Amino acid sequence: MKKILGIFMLIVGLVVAVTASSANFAYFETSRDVNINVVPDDNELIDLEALQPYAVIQDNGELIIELTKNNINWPGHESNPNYNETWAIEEYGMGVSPDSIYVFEEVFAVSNHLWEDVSICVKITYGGDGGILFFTGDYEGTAQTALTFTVPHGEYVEVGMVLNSTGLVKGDGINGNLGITADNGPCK
Amino acid sequence: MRKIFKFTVLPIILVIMFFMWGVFVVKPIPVVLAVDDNASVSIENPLPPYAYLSGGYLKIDISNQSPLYPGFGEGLSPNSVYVFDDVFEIYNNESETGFSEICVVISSPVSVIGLFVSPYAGSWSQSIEFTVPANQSVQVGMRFDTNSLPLGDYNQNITIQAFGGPCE
Repeated sequence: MKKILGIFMLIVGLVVAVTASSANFAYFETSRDVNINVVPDDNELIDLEALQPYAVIQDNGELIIELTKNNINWPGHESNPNYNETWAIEEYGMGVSPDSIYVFEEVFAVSNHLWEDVSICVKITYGGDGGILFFTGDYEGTAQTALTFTVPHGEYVEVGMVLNSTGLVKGDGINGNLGITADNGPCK
Repeated sequence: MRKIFKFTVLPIILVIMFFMWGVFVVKPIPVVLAVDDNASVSIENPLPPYAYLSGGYLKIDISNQSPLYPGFGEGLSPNSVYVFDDVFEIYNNESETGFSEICVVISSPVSVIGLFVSPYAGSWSQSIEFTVPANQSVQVGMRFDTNSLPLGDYNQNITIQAFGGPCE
């Protein structure tokens, strides 16, 4: 009996000790959801939209500027809904001619669809084979290798390209990568 | 008689210990209480528009499913890096935490999601640690790298831990 009483006293004592101290924040850990949707270039926060058939959004969602017969927009391409057999047979319009300069206005557009009401300063650079320059809006005779412009919220800016095949011969290609960066706020 | 006595004592002791166990366990402070969005009782606060409170819990959502989706800008582009300042903040409500400083550790399991203390100064990490003084907030920014991701929904979790006292 004494032993049982002893144990009871001990238990009561411990309970009293625990309740006497106030519950105090010591530590917590929790997990929180992050959900993002990876969408094609022409649907996202800073859209790249193809304005002319020379630019196209690929299956992987990325914009590409392709002036070859591999572009689905080439009328002779098998998968083109408006497939034109003559183009395929006669090999029309498969690229640019050697030693020439081509100017295309409004090849693609960069638009600002951020959820916040801010402008962005966009910079376009090009790395790769030579002969590609950029300009915005209408062509006025000048273009640059790197382009910087402001895109106000909800608006877009069209980018044109100058292709210069001087010194290239038939069969050569011009390949490279477009680098696009954007910073918060208008360009200074 | 004694044998019966022994058998009855043991279950009684076990029952008592079982009930005591509830008293011994220190309940963790709930991270957020079930309150309206307007009452900032939680230690984590979303800073719109890319984060919000979902069922009382912080959620970072950049998709057309977010209640803050404005009707354009459906998500992030493939093969890109996005950096957002001030996505959410951690607030040390001293009357709740009881500490003049708390140490907070936030970690991401993937390099797709990076974290940094705002403002962005060029560096980020998958795990950040910072001290929050009493009744003050620290803003957290996020970096997203979609380089390895396919098109479509991407879901992940970040872990938020908090300790009483300053970070050592």
